[in-house]
Amino acid sequence: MPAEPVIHVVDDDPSFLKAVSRILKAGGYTVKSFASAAEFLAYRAPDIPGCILLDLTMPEQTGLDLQVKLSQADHQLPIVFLTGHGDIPSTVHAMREGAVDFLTKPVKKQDLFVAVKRALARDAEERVKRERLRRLRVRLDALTPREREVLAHVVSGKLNKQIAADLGTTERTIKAHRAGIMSKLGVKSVAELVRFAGELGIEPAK
Amino acid sequence: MHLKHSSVRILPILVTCFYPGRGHRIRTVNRPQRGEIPTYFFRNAARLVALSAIIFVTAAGNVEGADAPRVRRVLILHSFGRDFAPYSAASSSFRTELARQSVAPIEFLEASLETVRFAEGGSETPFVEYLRALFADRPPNLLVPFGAPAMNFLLRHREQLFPGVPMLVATVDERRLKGVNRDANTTAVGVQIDLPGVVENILRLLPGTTNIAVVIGNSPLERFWLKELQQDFQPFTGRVRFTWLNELSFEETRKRVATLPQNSAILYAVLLMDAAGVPHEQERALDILHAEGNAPVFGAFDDQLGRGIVGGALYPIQVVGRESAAIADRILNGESPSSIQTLLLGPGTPVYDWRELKRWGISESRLPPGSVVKFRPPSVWEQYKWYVIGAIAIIAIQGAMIAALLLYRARRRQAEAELRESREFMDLATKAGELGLWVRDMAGNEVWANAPLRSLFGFGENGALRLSDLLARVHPDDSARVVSQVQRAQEDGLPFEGEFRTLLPDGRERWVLTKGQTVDVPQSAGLRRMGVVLDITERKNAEEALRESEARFRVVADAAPVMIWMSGTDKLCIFFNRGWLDFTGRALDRELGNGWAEGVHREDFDRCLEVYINSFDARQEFTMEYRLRRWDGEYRWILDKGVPRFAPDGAFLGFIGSCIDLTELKCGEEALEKERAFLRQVIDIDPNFIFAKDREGRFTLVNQAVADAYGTTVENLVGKTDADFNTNIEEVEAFRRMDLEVMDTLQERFILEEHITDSNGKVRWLQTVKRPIMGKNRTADQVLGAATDITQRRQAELEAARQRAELAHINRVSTVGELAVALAHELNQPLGAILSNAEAAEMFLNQEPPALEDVREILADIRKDDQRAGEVIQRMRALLRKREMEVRPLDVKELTRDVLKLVGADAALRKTAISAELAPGLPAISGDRAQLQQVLLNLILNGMEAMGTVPEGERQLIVRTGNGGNGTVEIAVSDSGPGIPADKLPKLFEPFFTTKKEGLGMGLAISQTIIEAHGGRIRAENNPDGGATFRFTVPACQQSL
Repeated sequence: MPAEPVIHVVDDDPSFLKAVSRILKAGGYTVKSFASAAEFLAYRAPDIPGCILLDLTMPEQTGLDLQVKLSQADHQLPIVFLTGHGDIPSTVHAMREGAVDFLTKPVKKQDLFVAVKRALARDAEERVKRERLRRLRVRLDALTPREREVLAHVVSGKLNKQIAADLGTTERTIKAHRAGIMSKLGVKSVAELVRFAGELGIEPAK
Repeated sequence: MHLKHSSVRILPILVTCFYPGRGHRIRTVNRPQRGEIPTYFFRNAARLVALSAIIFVTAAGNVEGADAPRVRRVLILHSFGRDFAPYSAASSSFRTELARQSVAPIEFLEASLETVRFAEGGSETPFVEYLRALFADRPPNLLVPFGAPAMNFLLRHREQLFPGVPMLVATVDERRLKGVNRDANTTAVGVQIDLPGVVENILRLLPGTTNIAVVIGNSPLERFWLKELQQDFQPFTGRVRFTWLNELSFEETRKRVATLPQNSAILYAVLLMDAAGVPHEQERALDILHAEGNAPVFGAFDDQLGRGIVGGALYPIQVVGRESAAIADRILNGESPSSIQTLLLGPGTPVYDWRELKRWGISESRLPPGSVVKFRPPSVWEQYKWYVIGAIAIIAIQGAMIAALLLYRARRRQAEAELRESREFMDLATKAGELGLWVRDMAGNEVWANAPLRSLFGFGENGALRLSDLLARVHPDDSARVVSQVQRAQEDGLPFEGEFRTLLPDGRERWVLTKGQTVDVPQSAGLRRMGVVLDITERKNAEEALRESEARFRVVADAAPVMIWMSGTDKLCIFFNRGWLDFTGRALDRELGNGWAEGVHREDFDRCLEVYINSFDARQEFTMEYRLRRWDGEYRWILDKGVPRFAPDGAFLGFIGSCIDLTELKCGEEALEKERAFLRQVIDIDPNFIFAKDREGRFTLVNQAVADAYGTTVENLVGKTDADFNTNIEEVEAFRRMDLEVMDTLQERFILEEHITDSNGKVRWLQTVKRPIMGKNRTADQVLGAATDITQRRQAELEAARQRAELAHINRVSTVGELAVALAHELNQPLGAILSNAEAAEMFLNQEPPALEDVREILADIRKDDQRAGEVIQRMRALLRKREMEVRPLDVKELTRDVLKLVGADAALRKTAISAELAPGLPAISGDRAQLQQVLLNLILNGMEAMGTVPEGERQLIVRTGNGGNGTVEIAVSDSGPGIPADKLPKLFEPFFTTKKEGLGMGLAISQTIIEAHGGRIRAENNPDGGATFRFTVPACQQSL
């Protein structure tokens, strides 16, 4: 059972920060508010589901600065931007860096909630994906170097015979490797195997 | 390649086409018809000239289909320019001759290496690049450099520019050819110039010559020749002094040659560019040297003969051209240049100008054997033929008489009988000749006269006659003269000869010719005078009649407003009327014979002569046009019509012709021709498609761009239809529909986007304008189209539209007022908080039970934030008021126009039509330009935004200026939007009031603040016919602008 998602609100305007946190709480969310980018960075968020509601124009570090820093630190929480006055270049920049949404103050309740919901959904999705990848990777690690080599050839769509010729061994040996790979990775068909390799970014052999 | 000294020479490349059997005329087909080309081509034309130094004189012959032989492209590279002597004569005859000989059509491409005139070390790269670009697709079939610089240039760049193209070097002296590393793909036609021979010729004709002034220019090529001349003339050093004029400007040269010492001669070597750097085209320099020099001029080339040089063994420069043409033809027909030996032409038969020989008193006996003398006027024999024949007849008869007398004297001693016989014989002789004979003693006065003489003087057959009797019958007008002549002749014992009239008693007058002389007759003891008298009345009358008729003819001819000439049976001219002489400004004797031909333009000379001679020989009328030099040196176009003259008995007498000055007419024609050619270039250089089609869909005009798209030539496209080239039937049908629609409705159509499939199957997007061309009866029989290829633009447009939208937005944000932008954030904070708080309060109130405590807290926060927002507004207003206004007199019109320019792009994007109705004569207003512009901009942008829901075609915004009353000017912005709801009207200018979904509600508030700060008013109202109008007034300025 995953932990309850937390909405992190970062805004330098205390009055607005308070109002937004208030309405989000009224909407049933767990909210954590921060008065500056620095304050948020100082708070080392535990790896629990959630999102960030981030003011764009703040003194010292702007919302964009924070976004860049978080992305460099491989921080995975989705960001929804809020701004008093958004110009096009910063919007474009924010969206390119992966912001989920870009809201303009004053923001209507409905717009705010839609954006937050979307951000949380995105977060949940990413988490599932990451978890799956993590597991796949664990299984991949169980393969021997030779099995990995054979895997790359299998993924490239070659027949056992060709793989045997390429690797200088017999078809029988390749068959055995294949069976080993399938069982270690927990897949039942070649199609599944290929998808698996794709997700993990395994390069097919040439 | 740009030349500053001559406007004609902006054409570094001339292309002319010759097609066999079509003569030498440059043909241009499928020219745009007059009236078909919209005027904007003319406007573009000027710009094109400025941009481009290249003009193709395209002469596209209509080569029909595949059976026409392939065009051979011959690149003629001139060393100095097309018109520099002596090369010009060679290249001109080369072109003419090759065009005549070749079976295949020849396209001549001519380029000039003008730079060599200016500097040796100048960069050739641009010219090389130019040639490369020009011939990248279609290399020439043959390279023909005229002169050494052109040859050297090609030797340097040929491998790189024209690999494998054969080369024929023309008009290069043997010694310039020496250093040339000739390869198998090159041959040459050159000359072997014998420089010492030139000096020997001068010394042969004028042995007393002590000084030879050598006229030569100062270009690199001429410096080469200067060295050669100085070296080759070395052997003459003891005999003659050479004055080298290479370091003089031509002006100085002129002065120098006019004041040469005695026994000088002028050698005109070559003058391409004088020491002052002035280039000399054609042979103008020679003409001037001839006219102004005080010594005979000598030259080396045959084309100079007749232009003032004395003559000599000249180099046949036109023959070089002809020979080159023959070899070029062989090479073009596939013969390898390696198999053709270099042809070197030496000097021709010595030839001299008779007029120059006369002018400088050079006896023809000095000329080398076998010399030819040209320009000789009609000989004495030809002029006075009948006189001479008459005189010979007389002398013959006289001789016969004398012979008879001698016979008589010899035989008298022998036989009386013989005497009688002799007398009879003499009588017979004299009678036959109607010749009067007389004999008289020196002592006595008595005269013996025969019957014809007696009859001539009106005396009877018998009766004594005395000299006085005879003299008495001389016409009183001639009497005194004759008497004194007779006396003097007698005293001196000299022969007497004279013509005079006799007056007979019956009043008849006769003209007689008499000859007398003293004869010693020993037997009769002493001297006698005897003589003959011949009746020449008829001849005299005939002469008189002729003189009268000639005089009459002359009067008529001279009075005629045309130029008249007359030639004899020998083709030489024997008469020019006053009109002609006035025109050429030359004396009659200079024009007679072939002298007139000196005034004919060189380029027309050969043709002119050919027509004349052919017509003459065929005794046929001819009409020709040529350029003739007028007295002021200007060449004028002359229309010359010649008809043969026949005597009443049908004998051919020669030709008579009349000429009129056609120049004005010709210039018009030429200008028209040039204009056509120019327009052709203009439309061909245009990358847009330009075409015209008739009702059947056949192209009547296309430019190169269309031809390129359809993968064919302009010539091939004319007369065909889209369907012949376009495989996309739908497109073809769409074109056809639109064409017919334009012609049927007589309406111009603008097609925003359409497409055409080109010969590569690629689809090109076009934006096209089609316009009907009016024919007869107010109907259109053709459609004219211009299409721009917008394929790339179309793609770029999608991107650009996005960018424009961004820009417009940014523009707007920044122009509405930096102030508003700066404050937006600050305002949005409290507003954002208020909204969120209010909505949270709603949620708390909806809880069961309502969280009133929370709501109370929220309301306190809201109040605080509202207060905060109010403070922001106050600050802004204070700031606006404080901000110093730069008040200046402003022109309302200008102000409005500036703003309209700013919003132009935005309006186009929003598909809004903006129009301005600016009242004339409004006074200036006083205000801050930037602030008032902001207000107007804000109103216009508001208006445009308000029309967002209105259908595209109906979005109209009008900006009006007018008198606002009470010394103010009013500016009003009306839109065709939905208007302002009546209840909102009063609140419009309050801060934060907005009807827009995303509006801040500050624009109008700021506008109001600005206008009020200017002492004006702003208000809004709905229009009776829909939409809203915002108007503001600003006080007019007291002072004028």
